[in-house]
Amino acid sequence: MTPLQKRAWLGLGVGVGMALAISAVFIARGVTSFDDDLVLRAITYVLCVGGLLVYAVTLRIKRRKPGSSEVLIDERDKEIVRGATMVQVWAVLISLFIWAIALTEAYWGQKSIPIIYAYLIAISGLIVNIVAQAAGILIGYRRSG
Amino acid sequence: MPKAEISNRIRRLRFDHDEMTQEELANRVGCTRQTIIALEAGKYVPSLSLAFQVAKVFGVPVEDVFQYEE
Repeated sequence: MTPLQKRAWLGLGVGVGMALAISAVFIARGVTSFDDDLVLRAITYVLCVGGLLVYAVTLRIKRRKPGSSEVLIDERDKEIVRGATMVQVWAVLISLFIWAIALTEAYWGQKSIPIIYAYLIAISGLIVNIVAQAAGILIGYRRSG
Repeated sequence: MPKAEISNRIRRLRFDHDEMTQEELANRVGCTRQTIIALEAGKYVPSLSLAFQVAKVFGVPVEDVFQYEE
């Protein structure tokens, strides 16, 4: 398994973990209480920033193993990352369209959308971004052996 | 346009060069062992630069390593 593949698995874990943790917090404390519940907001921010930091730390991969001739990332890996970027872009775009259509249809009558959804769109965008990149990389490796 | 395929003789050439390991070849051309595995399996077509580097390691022209087939 290449370092990039390991990173992709970690990204998938972080993304799915964030999604599950945030869903659990929202279910436990109630989605509608987000406006008044400071604890819920704090937990949500900590989960998002924490997940992002864990993911960011793993983003940088050195070209060669320090003190060794072993190559850690090469042209094939870079090509796979380029392919994964397309998966990422499409996944985020599709998730934004789903949010837009769902919220418009749900709140058409009220002519306004609760502010909580701005946070949820941002959080889901972040999670979709991380998961889609990881999935794109893993699919890329599967396709090119 | 007919589909073209690039085949290669890397496995054979490694064998002819004192059974050079995939890892050694990877280190000498600057790629990962997984890329050598993908190349040998015909699942990855290398860049020109990598193709020339592989040929240079074996001391043969690039067309002795990679063949273009329509």
